[in-house]
Amino acid sequence: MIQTLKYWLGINLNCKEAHQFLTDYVENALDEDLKWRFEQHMRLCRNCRVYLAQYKAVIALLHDTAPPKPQPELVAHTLSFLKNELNKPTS
Amino acid sequence: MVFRRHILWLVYSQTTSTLTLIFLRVTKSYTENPNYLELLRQRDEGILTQMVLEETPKLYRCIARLVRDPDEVQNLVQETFLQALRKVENFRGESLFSTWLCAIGINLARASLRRSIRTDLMDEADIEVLQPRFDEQGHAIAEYPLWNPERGLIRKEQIRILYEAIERLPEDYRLAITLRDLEELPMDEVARMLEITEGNLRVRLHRARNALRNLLIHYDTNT
Ligand SMILES: [Zn+2]
Repeated sequence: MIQTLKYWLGINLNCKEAHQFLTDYVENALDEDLKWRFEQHMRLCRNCRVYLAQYKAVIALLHDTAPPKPQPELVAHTLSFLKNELNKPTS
Repeated sequence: MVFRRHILWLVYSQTTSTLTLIFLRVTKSYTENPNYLELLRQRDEGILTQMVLEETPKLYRCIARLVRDPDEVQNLVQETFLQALRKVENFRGESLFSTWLCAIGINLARASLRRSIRTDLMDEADIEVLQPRFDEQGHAIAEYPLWNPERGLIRKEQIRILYEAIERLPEDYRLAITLRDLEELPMDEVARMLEITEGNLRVRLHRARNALRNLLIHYDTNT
């Protein structure tokens, strides 16, 4: 009875278990049932909610970094490099 | 020279009884050429040029995220193309050609990183310490600090701290974070590049992100 109630409330995941599914949740890799149980745990547990928000904030910061850009002459340099190397007789 | 396809469209509008001329320019990828692999094998100059033009930005980004020295990055980009062309017959078409190319580039970047060993790299035990702790009932041992990214250091500073931390991550974690979170490549593509399963990739991301979160918050709440 208590188990069923717990299951119904979605609190059959404890904090440790919920934490283990964190990345799968963020990467959308949980099946519907687990996803629901994970979200239910988040609704009921403030501490885990805090963690999830911080975890997502870190990912957002990582997304925010400027991508390195090649120098415009790199393509031309690469092409002449390849021409040279590919024309060398192979030993 | 970039290969371009021009399409002219004539559109007849019944309501106004006029003919409208639409001029579209579509850039065609070299991989759309059904013979591109054969042409690359023959070192056809046209397709080779197209390939280098099209693949350089992504390849450069993948390598430059791992290797700091811009001259070294250039060398590695060129070496990647060379190696790819020399073993193009090994490409089986199981992934995109660009994925295959980046995988070669990443392997070269890894070898380059190993030549310049850093002394402050973290190891597995350092990463373990940075994971959250739970008691036997599975409850978090400590309450997480109420860190709000908007209220701590300025964003630029937070990004700098993350970058420095990423450079100290063990190689497996660093590659996973770089390709998935910095480069934002799809999970399946990253897994293929690193030759691991997606489940395995998620484990690495999980541990690396936990560690980065911990380091950042620790820094941010202590300054
Ligand atoms: Zn919890």
